[in-house]
Amino acid sequence: MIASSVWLSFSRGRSWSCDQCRVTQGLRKKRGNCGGAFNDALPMVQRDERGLYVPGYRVCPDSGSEYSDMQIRSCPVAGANRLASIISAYHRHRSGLYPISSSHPQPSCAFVDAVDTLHMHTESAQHRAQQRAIEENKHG
Amino acid sequence: MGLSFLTSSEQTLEVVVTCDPSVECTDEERSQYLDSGDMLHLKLGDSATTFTLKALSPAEREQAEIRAGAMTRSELGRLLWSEAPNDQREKAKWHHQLSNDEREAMSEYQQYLNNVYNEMIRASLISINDVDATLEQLQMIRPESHRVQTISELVLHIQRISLLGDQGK
Repeated sequence: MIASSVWLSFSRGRSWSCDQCRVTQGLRKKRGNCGGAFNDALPMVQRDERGLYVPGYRVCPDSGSEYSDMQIRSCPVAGANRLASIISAYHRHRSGLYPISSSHPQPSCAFVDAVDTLHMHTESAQHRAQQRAIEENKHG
Repeated sequence: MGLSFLTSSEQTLEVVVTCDPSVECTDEERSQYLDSGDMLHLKLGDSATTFTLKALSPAEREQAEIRAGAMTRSELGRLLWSEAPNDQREKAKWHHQLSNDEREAMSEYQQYLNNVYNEMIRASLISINDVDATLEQLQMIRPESHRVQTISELVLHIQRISLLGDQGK
């Protein structure tokens, strides 16, 4: 969920979004009504012993290797929305607006783990964007 | 699906255990409750016992592991424990092939895990029915099967609210 927030914005128009559910009739239900389990009728859905999932690279094309291999089992957009407070606290800390310790003075293990995951994927996305820019410059 | 972990180690959460005679649920409802912590999956009687838990901070988690013996735990036991098959029959056959030293190491590691669970509860349990509580009170629960199940379920709740888990990432 945390990693999704990074790659959803990185992939922009090519990744899953709420607009797609608004435009395509029945898609929201197939995607689990904003956070539920996926429906059998969802395109590109796969099944294993734990239920239905969509591979990360199908949700966010051109995502990092760690995320591409992930098995996404509920709508990542809904998940990212639920974690918005953590994500905004991280980005405000990163931009130097205020330290994360002021908004979360007594973090739980899960919170520290979430910020760590968010940081790792944000760095990976930036690195990917830089590499792409270099490649584009090379080839005109 | 709600946010299943707590962001602050000062936040608390009330839970019940499914072996409580005042709590009714099917196996599926029990599994959903343990996954989500949502009591809507259960039929609660008036006298259901509520346990108040707090999320663990990184320091509290580390201290719990140290108190349980993290510095002296058996690394061989940890390795064997991670390699053990999931299927009970296969696991029994696999265990039968182990040498006495390996069985002892495995047993020591299992004991370490039980100690970690106890220490996690000691750090996380705030109260029972709004009265300050300790691990020792849980150890007095009878019958024995209810004591074991209560500790197991409380540990699952503590892990859920304190740790992100693979799926959460």
